[in-house]
Amino acid sequence: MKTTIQEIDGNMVAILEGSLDTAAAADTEKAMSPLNDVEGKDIIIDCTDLAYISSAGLRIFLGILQNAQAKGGHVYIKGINDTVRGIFTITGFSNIFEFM
Amino acid sequence: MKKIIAYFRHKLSVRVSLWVVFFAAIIFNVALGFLFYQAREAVRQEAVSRATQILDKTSLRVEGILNRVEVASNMTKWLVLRHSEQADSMFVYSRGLLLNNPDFYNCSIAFEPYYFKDKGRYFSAYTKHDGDSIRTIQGGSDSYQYFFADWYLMPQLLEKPCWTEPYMDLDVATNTSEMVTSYCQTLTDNQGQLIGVINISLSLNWLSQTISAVKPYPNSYSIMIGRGGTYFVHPDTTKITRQTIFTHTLEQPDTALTALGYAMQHGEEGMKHMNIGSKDSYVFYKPLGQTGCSMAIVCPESDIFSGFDRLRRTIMTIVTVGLLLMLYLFIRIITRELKPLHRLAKEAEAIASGKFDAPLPDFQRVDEIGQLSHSFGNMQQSLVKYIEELKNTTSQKASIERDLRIASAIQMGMLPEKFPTRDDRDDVQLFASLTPAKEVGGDLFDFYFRDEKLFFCIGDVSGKGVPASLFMAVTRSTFRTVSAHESMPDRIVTIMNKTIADMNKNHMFVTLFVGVLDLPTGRLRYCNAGHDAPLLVGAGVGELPCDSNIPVGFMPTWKYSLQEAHIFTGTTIFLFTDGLTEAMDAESALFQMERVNDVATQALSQQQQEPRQLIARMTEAVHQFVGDAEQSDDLTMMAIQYIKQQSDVRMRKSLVLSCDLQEVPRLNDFVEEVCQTVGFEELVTMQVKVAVEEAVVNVMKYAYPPGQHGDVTIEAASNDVRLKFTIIDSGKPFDPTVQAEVDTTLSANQRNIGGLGIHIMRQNMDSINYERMDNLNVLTLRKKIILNS
Amino acid sequence: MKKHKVYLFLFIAMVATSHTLSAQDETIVFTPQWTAQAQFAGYYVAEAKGFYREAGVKVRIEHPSATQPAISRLSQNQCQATTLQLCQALEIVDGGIPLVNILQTSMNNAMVIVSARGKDPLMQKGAKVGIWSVGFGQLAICMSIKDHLDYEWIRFAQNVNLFVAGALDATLAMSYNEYYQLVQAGIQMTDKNVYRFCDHGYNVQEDGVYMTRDYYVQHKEQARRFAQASRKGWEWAAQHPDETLDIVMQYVDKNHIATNRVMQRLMLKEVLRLQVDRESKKREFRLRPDMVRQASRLMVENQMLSREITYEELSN
Repeated sequence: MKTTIQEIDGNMVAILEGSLDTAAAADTEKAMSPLNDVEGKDIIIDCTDLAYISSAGLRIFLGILQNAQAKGGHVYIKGINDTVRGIFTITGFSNIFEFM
Repeated sequence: MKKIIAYFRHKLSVRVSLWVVFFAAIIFNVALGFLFYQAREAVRQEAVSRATQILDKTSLRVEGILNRVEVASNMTKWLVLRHSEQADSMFVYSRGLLLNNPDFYNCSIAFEPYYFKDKGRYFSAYTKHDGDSIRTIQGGSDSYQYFFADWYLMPQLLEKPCWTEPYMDLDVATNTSEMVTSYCQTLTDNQGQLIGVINISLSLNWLSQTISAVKPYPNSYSIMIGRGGTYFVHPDTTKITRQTIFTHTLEQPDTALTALGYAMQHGEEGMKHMNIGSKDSYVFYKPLGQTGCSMAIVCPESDIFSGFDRLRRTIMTIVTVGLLLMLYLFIRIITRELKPLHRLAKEAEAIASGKFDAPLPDFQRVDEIGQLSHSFGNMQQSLVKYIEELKNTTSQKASIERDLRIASAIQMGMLPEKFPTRDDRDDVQLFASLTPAKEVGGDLFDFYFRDEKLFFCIGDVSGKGVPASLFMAVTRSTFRTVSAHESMPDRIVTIMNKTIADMNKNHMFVTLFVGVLDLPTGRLRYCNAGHDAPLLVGAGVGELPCDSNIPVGFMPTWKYSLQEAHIFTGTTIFLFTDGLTEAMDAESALFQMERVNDVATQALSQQQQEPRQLIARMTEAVHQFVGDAEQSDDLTMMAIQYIKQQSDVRMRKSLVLSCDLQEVPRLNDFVEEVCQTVGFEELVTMQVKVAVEEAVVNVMKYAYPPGQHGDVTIEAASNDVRLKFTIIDSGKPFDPTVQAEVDTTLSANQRNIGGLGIHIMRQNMDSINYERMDNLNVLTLRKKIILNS
Repeated sequence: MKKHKVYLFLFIAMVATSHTLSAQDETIVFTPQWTAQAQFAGYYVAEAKGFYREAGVKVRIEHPSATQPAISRLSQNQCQATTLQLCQALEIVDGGIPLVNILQTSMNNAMVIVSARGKDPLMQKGAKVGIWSVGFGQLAICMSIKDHLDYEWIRFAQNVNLFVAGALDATLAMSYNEYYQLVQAGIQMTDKNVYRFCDHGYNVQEDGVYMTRDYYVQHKEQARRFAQASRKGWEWAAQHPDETLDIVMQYVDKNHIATNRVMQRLMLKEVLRLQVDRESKKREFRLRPDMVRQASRLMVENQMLSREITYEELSN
């Protein structure tokens, strides 16, 4: 599992690659913690290469979203594939995230 | 006539008046009748005495003259006999007699033939008035041979002086005749030899006039008859001397007249009441001295009673007019008195037609009519009140009935409506029916599937109707609530009992059978709380053995026992309430358990233990038994047939992991491998992977206390239909399936971080089943194998 | 009886003296022997209905008066025809005046004795019995003698008064006249107190019309016509009793007779009955020789006739 955070066009972009299972969740959460400090910028989570996600991964997403919304920011999810989108759908996450 | 009768029927005033006047008329008639009778009798008596007096007076007058005639005759006789030899002196005597008695008609002193030798055969000194003068001649001749005359013969034959029957005296000299009656007596010489007869005649005219003048009443008249009944005085002059009193009776017998004739002939005196000349008359009669004549006064009754009749007519007219006036006044008065009643009747009619507020006439009267009016007013007020109450009650009842209908719909809506059949499921098929005795009932049944298990219950609340239905609703919802977290029937019932008993203030209870059928294995766990034991219809028909637990709702502390049984494929569990066994026919006989057994046995023998068929047969049998009788109790039946066919295992793999989250990638690889073996496509594989990971992570995180090492075993098996993962650990008992459901509709800041795992398992797998077996937590996840064709 | 003989003698003497005076008057004066009554209905009918006129005879009916009885009128030729009872006729013929019977109306005897107080006349020996002073009664006298009843005969002039007054024990009566007068006077008639001569062997004819033989010989044709018309009157009366009664009452009223319609009706009925012969049941209008012989012999036996008068002496 690989997590990359970049600033592109004034937005903070987290690029996730690999499977975000329970085992990888702790590392990934750590890697994405900088996003919690972002202020005044939108956050884009690029899931183009995210192959798998479990509930542990979804909890990380939710944490980032709640943090950002508290500051008035937006969290966008980008390039999600169908299987991962299925998990989003059945958990109702598709309702609370903005997709681009 | 009918119209008159109908009129009287409808007119109380006329009827009452008629009765009163009728009785008044009777009293008047009786009183007046008596009065009239008395008065009439008095009048009659008066008439009798008056007529008798007149008769006596007339008779006395006549007798006065007759006496003079007789005295004169005697005097003359004395003179004649003293000088019987001197023929010529006879003329002197004869003449003298008439001179002294100018009212006598004539006088003859007649002698036997050749008594005076020189006078020849005839000698009669005859004197008669001739105008103002008196003529005296010798009366006998060849043409008047007086010897044969009555007056000459009678005194001889009778040997005493006598009056002759009136006869026509013909005066040859003047050729005039006059009706006379004669007093005659014989002259005898010293030897007793007859020498002649003295005859003194009286004109009957005089007598007739005297008698005719007797007229006590305007239309009365007198008659006189001789010895032979001949009329000598009669108002009908053609009868005089020509007819006798009997003439008329020869052609037309008249016994009364005949009797009168005889009485008068015999010289009787008296009074007769008879019909003469077609008039009712009183006849008073009396003989006239020794003449042999008899006179009678005929007084028509109408004359005697004319004054009386006039009085009677006047009184009767007054009475009749009075009665009619009375009738008229009575009708008027009663009509006036009854007028309020007429108005009351009209008002009552108005009230009867629905105008309850019609104002009643206010009679200022204290009599019966006033009371009636008052009572009527009270009745009207009461009517208005009652009608109002009735309206309210009716609308309330309608409202209640509407509520009841809604309640009934709601109650029925609570019950499952869709029953799984062979087409829906391969493991169980089910059917149930509930027929409440009233709109709403106290029976309940319920079932639902959770985690490869069939949760079902059937119950019967004590009592019926709304209270029972409410209790049933509580029971049912409690069942749902409790069974969502509990999988063991004894636990479910125990918790339900505590919950219900705590809030049961009305001391109601419910018999309940709760069962949990493990669909993959056919193992039935059940708890019976005082309910009828279900039947098992499979290899045979038999009751499911049941412990004797008390019904739910009594004792909150009661510990209900759990029982288990294995249900073989094809066997039907038949549950029912006592509405089946206690169904009553018209004679109050009960359907009873034997019949239930018989029907089930029959169904089984015909391979018809399929739920719908079995319940249809049972329903039909009950209907036949009950007939037209009213359903006495709610009737509920539920049939559950286990139809699971065990399939061959195609694949079996297993993996044992230590409880370390870092083992998750191994797990995911294992699952992915299994899915690929089974042939799932990528999306399904992904779903299964997430679900299994969540279940295993759950065990890794919570099954063992921190620091304690533990394993988790993941077994994968598949047949043609399903892929099954069984996750087994030996940690503390934990049933993830009873975790609260996540609300996926909340917004981001409302969402909780936890609880997603079980949700994902449920969403991604077809069934999740937890069991605690042999101190192991056994969680089974299943997914149907749907391959891309 | 003595008086009667004297009377008859006087009559015959008068007839003898007047005979020469008889004029050949064309008119027949007919005098019935009593006042106007139904006893003479046939003659009234013949006159009223014009039978006499049709027959070509002039007939005048003149009733006898108190001073001129029928027989004296005949003897004085004041009338040419009169009615007589057979016994009377026999006496007159025996007295020397030949009579001719030109029409016999009666075929039966009408005389009866009515006894007072309901007694049987045959049981009253020596009773005072009334008899007409002008004749009739011959058979009764014969019967009284023959049956040894020795009645004391009381001659009367005025019908029934003496009897009614109770002065007589019994009285003779004609069944068509006095009998009904007695009934009218209230006398009750029973089988016991009424003796009918016709039922006791004395059925001798009575009324017939007679003329003196002298007159008859000279006026045979007129007599025959008169008799024929009279007979016709009777036959008509028998057929028309009601109208006859009307005619009778006209004569009664005209003559002021003290009678009445009821009485006349009864009389007419009885007179007509007496005209029917017992044996032939017919109105024969003929003198029966046997009756003449019987009457004649009875009267001879009782010294009422000096000789037997034969049928031939009376017949024309």
